[in-house]
Amino acid sequence: MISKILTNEGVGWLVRVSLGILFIWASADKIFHPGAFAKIVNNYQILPGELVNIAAIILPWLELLCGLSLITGVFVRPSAAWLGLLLVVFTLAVSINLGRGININCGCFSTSSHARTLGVSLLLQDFGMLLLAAHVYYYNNRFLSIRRFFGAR
Amino acid sequence: MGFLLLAATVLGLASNSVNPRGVAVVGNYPRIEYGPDSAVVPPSAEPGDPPFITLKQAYGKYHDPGTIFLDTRDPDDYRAGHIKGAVNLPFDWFDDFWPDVEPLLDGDDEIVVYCSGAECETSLYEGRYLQELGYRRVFIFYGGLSDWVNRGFPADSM
Repeated sequence: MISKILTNEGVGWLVRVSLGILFIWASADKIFHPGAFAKIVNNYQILPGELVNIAAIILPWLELLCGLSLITGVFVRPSAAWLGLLLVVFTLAVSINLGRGININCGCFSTSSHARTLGVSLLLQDFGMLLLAAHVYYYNNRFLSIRRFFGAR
Repeated sequence: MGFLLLAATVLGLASNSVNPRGVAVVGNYPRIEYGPDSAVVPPSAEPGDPPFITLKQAYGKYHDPGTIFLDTRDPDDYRAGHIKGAVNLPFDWFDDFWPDVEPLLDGDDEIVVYCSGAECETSLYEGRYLQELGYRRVFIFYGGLSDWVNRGFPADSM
């Protein structure tokens, strides 16, 4: 039963597209406000100060491109691999700062100062999204993809 | 995977260069040392005092939207320079300033009180007093403005 659900093309498509939409949504505000996002990246106190801005410039675009790839069904596996890697990095960064007792904005979906702060629920959310990324990578769903539309297998 | 990273790098740099809110590619941020932190507990501390927090902890709370920083020094000192965004509630003029400050404090918010640094104690006294008034989430940043400014953290003057 569970294996039937996991291998179902419609479910695979839903997982793939949902993950894509989530990451496009996550990228939008950060792309428009690189300065605010850089400040949040710096607050995590993990990257050296010199690398904070370049990370804040590239990361949202990587999220956007991977999100678009998942929705359109091109570069599905590389995109899922990137998103999985990013989610592992996010989870580690949040865990380290929870351990330090530092309470900062997570910078997940918004750069606003009223955005969500770090917490265990955030770790669970990241873990859930990591499972989605693993599903997309493993099953490599191509249902309703541009590639299929143009006849590629 | 490399293609996606390359495309994100090119698009990111291009969009950043035309974005009026764009940033310098190489950042310049002060680092927080995770070794010995500012001396945080004054000799005059007593059991039951609000918790004393380090510079590192204060900086962490600074970015939490549910935290308000209160500067307990005199208005002249506050005007000359204070932690950016902090509200002035001078301990020596507490009753005069309290009506304006009280509406800003939510019972669930964390309150960080500070003064000049280790040479002043008004943050300690005000922290105690706020606790007596019923605020349960008060923290004393005893390193104060001097520790804050020494690390290059955000400060402001009027």
